[in-house]
Amino acid sequence: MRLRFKIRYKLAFIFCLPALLLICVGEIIASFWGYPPLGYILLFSAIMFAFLLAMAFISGGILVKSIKKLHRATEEIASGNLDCRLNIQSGDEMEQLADSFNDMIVAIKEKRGPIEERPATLGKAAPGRYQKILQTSAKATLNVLEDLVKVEDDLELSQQSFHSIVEESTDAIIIVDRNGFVRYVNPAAETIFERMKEDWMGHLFGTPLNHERREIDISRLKGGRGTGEMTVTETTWLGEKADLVTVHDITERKIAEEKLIKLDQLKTDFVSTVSHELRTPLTIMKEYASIISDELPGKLNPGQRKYLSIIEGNIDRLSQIIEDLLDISRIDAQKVVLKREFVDLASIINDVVTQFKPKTDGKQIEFKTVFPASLPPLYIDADRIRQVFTNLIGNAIKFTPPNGKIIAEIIGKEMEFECRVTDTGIGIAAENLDKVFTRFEQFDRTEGSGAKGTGLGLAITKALIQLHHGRIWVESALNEGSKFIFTLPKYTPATLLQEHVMNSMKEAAISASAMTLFNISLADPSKLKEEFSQERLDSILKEIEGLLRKSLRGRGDIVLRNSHGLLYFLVNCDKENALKVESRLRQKLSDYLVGQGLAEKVKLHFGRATYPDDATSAEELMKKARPGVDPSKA
Amino acid sequence: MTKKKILVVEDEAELIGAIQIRLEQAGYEVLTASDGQEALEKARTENPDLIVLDLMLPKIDGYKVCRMLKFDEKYKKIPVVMLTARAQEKDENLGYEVGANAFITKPFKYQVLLAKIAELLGGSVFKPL
Repeated sequence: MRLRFKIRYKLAFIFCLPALLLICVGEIIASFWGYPPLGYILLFSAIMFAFLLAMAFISGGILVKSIKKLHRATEEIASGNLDCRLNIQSGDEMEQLADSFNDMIVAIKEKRGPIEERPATLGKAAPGRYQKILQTSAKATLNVLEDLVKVEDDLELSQQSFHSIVEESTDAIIIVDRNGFVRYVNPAAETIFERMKEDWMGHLFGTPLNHERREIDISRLKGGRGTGEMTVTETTWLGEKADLVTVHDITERKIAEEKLIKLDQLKTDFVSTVSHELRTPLTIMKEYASIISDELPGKLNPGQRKYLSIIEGNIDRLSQIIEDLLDISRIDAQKVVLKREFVDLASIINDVVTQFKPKTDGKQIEFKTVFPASLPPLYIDADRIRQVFTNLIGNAIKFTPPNGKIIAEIIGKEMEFECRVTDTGIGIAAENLDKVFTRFEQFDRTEGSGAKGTGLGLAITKALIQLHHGRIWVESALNEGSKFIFTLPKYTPATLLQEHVMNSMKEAAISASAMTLFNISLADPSKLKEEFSQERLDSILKEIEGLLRKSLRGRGDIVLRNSHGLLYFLVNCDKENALKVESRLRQKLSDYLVGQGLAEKVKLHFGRATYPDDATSAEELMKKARPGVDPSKA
Repeated sequence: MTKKKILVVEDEAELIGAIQIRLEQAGYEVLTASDGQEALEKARTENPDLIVLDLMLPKIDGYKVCRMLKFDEKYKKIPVVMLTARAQEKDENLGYEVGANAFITKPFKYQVLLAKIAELLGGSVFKPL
């Protein structure tokens, strides 16, 4: 609107100025030529002025109308409507301008073609709409910004928590890059390793990293050592692959553990040393007491004999306590090695029964033994099993009142032998049954006669049976008696050989050493059987076995004999040494046969195979050790 | 028949005394030594028929005494009975390794000692009274 008036006034002003000028010039000419009446002139001038003013208004209006059209069209285009056209047919410059304007719109439309395909709403958007869009988008932007700030706050918060977790952790946390350089350490790492951050960063970590939890030595910068438990996990650090190392300080736990182990060792050593030291004076006492008892220095009167027997009884008791303590310390230190052989168990039991006969007779106890009709030899340590029976039968006698009954029996089962010692003694209360085999456990058995023991006997017995791969348990009822039952596994020479071969191979594998299985057999056994009796052949084999044992003694080697006249023995030596051992044994055995006058008739076959050179399985080793088989070719 | 000569090596004088009584009673002539060095000297000068040897001895220990004698052609035939308070498997193995002929642990029964001696001297086996 303002535009229209402005232009109109301007135009009127432009038209009026020359009109006024013209009137003034007319007035001057008129004054020269004698003035017509002033009223005419004034009237004429006013009419002229009004006419010109009207002309200016009309022409300005036409011009403004065209400009207004142009203005509208521009607005349309600005709003995106490129289809509008200017329609001015004034035939003057305005029409020319309108044509040029229309050409311009066509050109713009062609250039902006693709954008036309945008959503219609946008294309048709009016200026108000723009503002709305702008407002909405500004609001959205504001929201995004607010969210961003919030996220940033959260991030900072979580970074702070993460930071405090890592920084306040008592475990060392170290980031090591793929080249082994330290990229990050937390304060705990500085404390545990006594090494400042500056001494870590950019330095090599040093300790090899593998992804297994393990113990590491912590060598501190200022000296001093510790132990840590290290865990390594893969991670990324600043976009690169790296290792996350955590070290948990276990120095104190380790020290405590070591102290305990030392203390336990000290206890074992102490018991062992003290027991050994006690043995010598005890031996001296025992020897002199027996010299007096044998009346070597002179005759004893009945009183002296009685008191001397009390001394001797207590020397024996003390000896037994020391032996028990030594046994327990040896069991604890896993130093008990069984010397197992095939022996007759029945004769061992009979020995023990005979040994206790004075005691059972004294208490009027009936003693019975029950053995299977045919009892094969058992593969046991005779001394240790004698100790077991001495213990069980000794206890049975101690806790059985006079006129009671004790039975020792052996029962053959499919896989094992069951041994039982049954008495009609005072029995054991149900609540004490599971304490029976616990060391130093002596519950109320006051009715039992005789001296108290150490409380170690049954603990030792259990350990010895377990060493024999057996089980032991007790069945008992108060005032009815007790039944101690234990098992001993059945061995045939074949299963035993297998077991020994497998154990020796395992040991050799652990110590990365070698082991050789030897096999000696009698050549041409059928012919020998015609020549000699079975007993004679057995005794020859037994002699050879004895010779082998003697020459192998002390090297942890094992000799086994089976019913087919084959002897097996294991020697912890490699192929080269096995050859030397064999030639030495050949010499020894041939000396023996010559000495016995058997050299002509009895010939021996030798075979051997070495683990791991010749075979890696027990079956293969036994197969290749057969005489006449070349282990390297078989 | 001349009496067999036995050298008893033991640092506990009282124990030597007891063993001596038993051996003499069984009809042996007894020589004694209380340390390893004395044992070697007496073994070389007296040439005993058998040696009863304790292991823990002053100056030279029993294992060494035994090994030195067994490496000497002149004395290697003398049987050695080792006597010790140490009854562990490895001690016994070591004993046999240095050439001991028998191994007896303390406290021992004198009957066992006498039986071993008799066996090693090849004479009649001693029978307790």
